[in-house]
Amino acid sequence: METVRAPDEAFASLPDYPFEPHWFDHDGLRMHYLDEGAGDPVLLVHGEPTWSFLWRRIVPRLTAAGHRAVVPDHIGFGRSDKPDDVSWYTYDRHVTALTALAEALDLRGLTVVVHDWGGPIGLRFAVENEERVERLVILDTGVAAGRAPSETWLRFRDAVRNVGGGLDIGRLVAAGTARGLADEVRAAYDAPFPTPGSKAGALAFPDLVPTEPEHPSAAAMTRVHEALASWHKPALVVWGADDAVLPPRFADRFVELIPGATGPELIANASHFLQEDAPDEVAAAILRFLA
Amino acid sequence: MKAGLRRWGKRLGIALLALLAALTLASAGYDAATSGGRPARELYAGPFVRVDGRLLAYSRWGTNGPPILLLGGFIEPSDVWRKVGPLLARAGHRVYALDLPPFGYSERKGPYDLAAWVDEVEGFERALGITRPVVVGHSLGAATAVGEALRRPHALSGIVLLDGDALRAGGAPGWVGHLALDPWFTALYRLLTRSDLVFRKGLHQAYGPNGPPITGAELRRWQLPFRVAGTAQAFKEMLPNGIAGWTDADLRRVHGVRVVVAWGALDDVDSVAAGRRTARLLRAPFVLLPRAGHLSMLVAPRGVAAAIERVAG
Repeated sequence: METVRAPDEAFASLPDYPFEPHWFDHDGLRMHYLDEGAGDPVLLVHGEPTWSFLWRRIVPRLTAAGHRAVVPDHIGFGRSDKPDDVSWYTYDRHVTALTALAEALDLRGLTVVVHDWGGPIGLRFAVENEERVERLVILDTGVAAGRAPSETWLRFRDAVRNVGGGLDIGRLVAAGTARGLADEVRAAYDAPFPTPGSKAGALAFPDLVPTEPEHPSAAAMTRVHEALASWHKPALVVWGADDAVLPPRFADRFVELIPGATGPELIANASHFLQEDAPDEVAAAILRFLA
Repeated sequence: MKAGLRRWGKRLGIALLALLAALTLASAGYDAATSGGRPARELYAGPFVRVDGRLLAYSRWGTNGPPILLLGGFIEPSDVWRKVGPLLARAGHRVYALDLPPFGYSERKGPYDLAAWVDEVEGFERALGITRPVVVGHSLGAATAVGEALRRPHALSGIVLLDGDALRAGGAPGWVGHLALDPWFTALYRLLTRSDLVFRKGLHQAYGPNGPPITGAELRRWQLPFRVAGTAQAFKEMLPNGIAGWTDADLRRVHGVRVVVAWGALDDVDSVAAGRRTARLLRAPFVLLPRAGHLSMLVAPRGVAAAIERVAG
């Protein structure tokens, strides 16, 4: 197994991404994160197949309002190191890395904002480290084990399995927006994944979704689901109204599941990557919740 | 000194009386020079349907599929749904937009209150054979939608509150109605409802920053319903009532109906915060419509149609 490290030049001139890199060594790998602003920390957890770039237009609004934004790239994504073996990636490893980072930075009083695969990872971190977490913000994700999220998602998994290392990351993100992406934004989503081997983490995620009860991720995700059923701290559910991969009924389920939840707030004309379609509205929703 | 004051007081009184007389005369003159209302049928081609003795105007799109009934708000004719109606029809619905009097082109026959509007919606459904519709209420119309949900939840597929919190508010004290005397009231009514300036200002606020240019045609869309015979009298009757609506406790009583609350993110006629609050009271999802102001159905028709589809399914 090799580890791919994307060159710094690939990240030199991305649109709306002027942030200083921060590095954290974990398990022999270098994990990248953003650490912007000062104040109560907000942990922004990305999913498949994105990276901290996804939050670029949310971060400045949080820091301007007096919050600290900590934005990791999961191992295999963004500027973090990328083992090129798909089988290296597991649900446990992603959660362990995120937890180690939160411990290293000793983050407390956290607001954890999760999106897509950031949900299973970030929400598991939250329920396993409840003493560090005050609030949850849940965007377009799911933690149900034992079945596929939707027909659209199954088609997406099939497509990923078929194309393998040829996976077009930028195109995938663009397809999950209501308004499409500008060329330079699409290129920025591609920037961390210049070679087939660098896409192993992105290729692994769909198969880590526990679509059957016997799936290796199923037991852990079921525990997260159960823990959320007794989560009494505040939780906000915000969703892209046009998300076809994880339709808004998933938002309804989170609100029904979590005793402390408010919402859902659906954003019209926004799809799965609502941070692209409606960054102002997403930032405003988080800030209102923090106020 | 005292005598001087009294003399000035007297002069002032006489001057005021003279001004009053002149204004009254001018008003009467203006009223005579301008025309009164015309029958709705002369101003709107239809369709109309007679319900409980009132001639109700409506629009419709689509010929089959599950029905959706759209209700406008204060002073909104059914024409405000001209963008959303066809979208819903294309998605496989029979869509009706009803003018609740004294708005749009329905006959001006009171009373003009919430109970009457809820009756009219029920009567309209009966007259047109509409069963289990989704009832969508914009702004003031949201209160009527909630009224339907409270009265007959099992006869509905769901309700959508659009830019309307359905809560009762304000109202002028009763004596204000008595002050609205002819010919003053009529003169003022005609001056305001024919003023392009007043409508332009109001529409700018209601559309928000992303509305269409306010053309002459756009102004006439909004001004024409005020020419329907009996409209001035109707507004005079409504004046003391305030904004029709419900209490928090009423909203909490809504059960057994699917509900969505949707709101223009830039609405500064009814605040987004009020919308979120109503969504919480109704335990309903809240749909934020980016870029849209209060007239969200005309600025974000796709988002509004999708929000309605959430209930209509």
